[in-house]
Amino acid sequence: MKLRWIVLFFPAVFVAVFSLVVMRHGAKAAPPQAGSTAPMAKAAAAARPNQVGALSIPDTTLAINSPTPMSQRVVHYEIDARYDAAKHTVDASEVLTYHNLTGQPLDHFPFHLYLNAFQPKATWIREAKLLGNRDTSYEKWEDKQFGSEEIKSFEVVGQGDLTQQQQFIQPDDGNKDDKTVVDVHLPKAIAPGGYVQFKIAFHDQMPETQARTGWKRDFVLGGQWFPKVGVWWNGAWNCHQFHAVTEFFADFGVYDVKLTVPQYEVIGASGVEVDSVNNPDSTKTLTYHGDDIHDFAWTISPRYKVKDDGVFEGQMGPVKMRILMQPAHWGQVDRHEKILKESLEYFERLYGPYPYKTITLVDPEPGSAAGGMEYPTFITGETSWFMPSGLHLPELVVEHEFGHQYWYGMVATNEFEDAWMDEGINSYSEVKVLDAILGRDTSILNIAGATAGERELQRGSYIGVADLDPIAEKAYDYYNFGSYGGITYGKTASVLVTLEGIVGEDTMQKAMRAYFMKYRFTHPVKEDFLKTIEEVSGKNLRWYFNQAIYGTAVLDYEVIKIDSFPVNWYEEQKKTSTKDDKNTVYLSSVWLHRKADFTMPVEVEIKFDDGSMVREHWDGQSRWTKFSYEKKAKVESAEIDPDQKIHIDRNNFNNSRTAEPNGKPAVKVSNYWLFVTQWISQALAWWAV
Amino acid sequence: MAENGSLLGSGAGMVARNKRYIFWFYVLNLLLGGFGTVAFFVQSGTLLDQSLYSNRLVHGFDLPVLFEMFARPEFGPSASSAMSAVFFSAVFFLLSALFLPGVFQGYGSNYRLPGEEFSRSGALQGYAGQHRLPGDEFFSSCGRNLWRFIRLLIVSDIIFLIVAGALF
Repeated sequence: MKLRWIVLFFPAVFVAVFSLVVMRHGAKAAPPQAGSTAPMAKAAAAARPNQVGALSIPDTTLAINSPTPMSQRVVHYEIDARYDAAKHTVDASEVLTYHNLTGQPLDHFPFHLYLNAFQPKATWIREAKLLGNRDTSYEKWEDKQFGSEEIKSFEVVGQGDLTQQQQFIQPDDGNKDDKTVVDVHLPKAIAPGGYVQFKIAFHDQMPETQARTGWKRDFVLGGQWFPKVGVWWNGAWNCHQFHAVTEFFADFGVYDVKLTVPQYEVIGASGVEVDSVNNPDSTKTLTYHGDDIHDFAWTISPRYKVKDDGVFEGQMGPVKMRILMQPAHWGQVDRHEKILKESLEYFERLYGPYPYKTITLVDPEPGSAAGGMEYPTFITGETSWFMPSGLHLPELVVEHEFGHQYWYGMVATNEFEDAWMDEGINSYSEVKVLDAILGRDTSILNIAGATAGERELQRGSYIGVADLDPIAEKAYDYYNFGSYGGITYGKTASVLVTLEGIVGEDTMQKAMRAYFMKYRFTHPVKEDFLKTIEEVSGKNLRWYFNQAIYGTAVLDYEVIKIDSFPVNWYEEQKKTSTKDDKNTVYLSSVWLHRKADFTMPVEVEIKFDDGSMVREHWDGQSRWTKFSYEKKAKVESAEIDPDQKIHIDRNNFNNSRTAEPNGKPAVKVSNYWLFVTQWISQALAWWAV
Repeated sequence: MAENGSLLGSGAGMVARNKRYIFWFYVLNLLLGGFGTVAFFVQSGTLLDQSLYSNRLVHGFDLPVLFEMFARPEFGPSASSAMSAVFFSAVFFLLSALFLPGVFQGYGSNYRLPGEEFSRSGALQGYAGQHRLPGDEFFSSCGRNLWRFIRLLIVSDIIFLIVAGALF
């Protein structure tokens, strides 16, 4: 035992000094280029500074445009994996070095085994059947849907083989058939500040794609594919089971991953490629290195067409954009690159720098349920062979998934417990960025006069489930999948757009930037975000947060009635002429009604038929209020929130009322309705004759 | 019908010969469509007529406003407003199948069904027909009608898209 420490110590000191020199150079280097990867591989492999004893977490900067690490690195994963394309299996060895920064001894470690979710009795499948799911209904179980992640051997360096110590735990629901979390007790606790190294051999059976992982035909997306240690958070291990609607949570660190795949495969992965070797058995081994990331994903397909000559000149240095497209979608590659680059630009401008040297965008196999997913420096888009330029769905997906590089990738919130802090805040960013790039009312659709904007669609997804769950809900505790989606994405985005109206757009932007810059590469909680907005705005916003974030209150203000009649109505009756007299003084009233339980101050704009206009303020506390006027004009219309700052009102139709009905909108939509139904029946008749 | 002539030409000739049918069936279709749309018009009017928000459907065509209208409880379930349209489509389809000559007529000539005069298409022509259709003629007729239908559908789709584009 002692001999080994001595043998390791001197080479380690040498390596540390050498790698410091190399890393300083590497950090300033241009993005990696094909053919120049081998030296980088050596540099990555050599980096072992800041050692305590024989173990350490590297402080490499090969994959980031920074001379120093940007996160507090807790983990270092070294994985050597081989993919069997015929069996859809992965056999791999994993060396995980963990730095105990918890401040207390750790005597057990929980690990996620996410792929075990794809088994009929697992919590993930049960919830998907019960509560709904994004991709698969599981009406009928098929063997190809089966996935598994099995730890073949588990050794703790210095403590021996603990394979038999594995114990599946179910911290969330007690489902004994769920094997997505395994816990291992160590004979000797790891002291505060100490390191521990795990050597794990594991075997994956990849399922046909579910939850954005698995295979489809000859395509593979390797997501959540390796045993991943939980996060020590708020004084305890945080390692949730995999649920049908939850995503992930992990510590920052360094990833060095070797992937061996058939030589015909085109591959993409998180981090930067540092080495590529063709093996004698018609396989090749690619080595990837990632710094300051908390997950690692990869994809292969023999049919990818690659565009990797695009470079974004970021605030911290160049970012290489690597785009893997399906051949059938190759005509859209420029469109994908354009929105990716624009997203980079806007996120840097709005929130802060993108520090990584690469971003890989993958266009997954059609029908693979692998589209629209985010991993560090690696995202999947979603498109189809027919995609008119006015239909911005690819732009929407790419922008959204790129946004997760900020809200999840760098600001690494707990996606199990605070899904709104990544999906929701990201959806708000999506509204802002797509508004700026594609237009506020046309960011989703702009075809032949028909339009749809992102902010209205976010609101639309919320109003159908408005009172089911609060935003501040654990992702796996939502009523169902629809509520999770509508609240986490739609309500959060709408709540933050509305908040923008309360604190001002500029202030909100400053607050978002401050939040990003302060909490990047950390695991912030709800109050970190909310307090940042209060601090930057200088306002106490508890009244709003308590209702909008922590509560299920629904907002619905209504112009319930407008009315005008002559003050001297009894005199008017005597008049013989029916013409309006311009000298007639009217008593006009507007009644506003708070129909639901969310209270908020509102503006109301009242227009009169002489062209005059008045704006009133209502604190919105009472159930109803009335504004009355005596003037030589009748009220023509009243509109709550005329500047459209409130985006959480459940019913926008009743926010305004006109004295005279206007039949044009109903006639227009009815004409469309008539046209469509008549065309359908005519087509049926043609078929019949 | 000329076997060697172009199908589109044959179709056009058929249209010319049956223009009265087409006209009256169009009128009937429009009438039934109108009935089917009344419920939709009334329901949408309750939401749209006195709201400034609905102006976004007049000036341009903001689809989220339309979706929100469908989602409102005051509008009622989409199914209820669609039902009348579906009903009129079914009626129109049955009328067309019953009174116009076509594939169903041939079907009826080979397979006797109870009350077939009322259940097969081309019943009127069937009454006037002098002979029963042999099986091979029936199937070749099916084939011709199938391709004619597909071509008509493509042409109608093009027209539909043009008109829809102009409307929206």
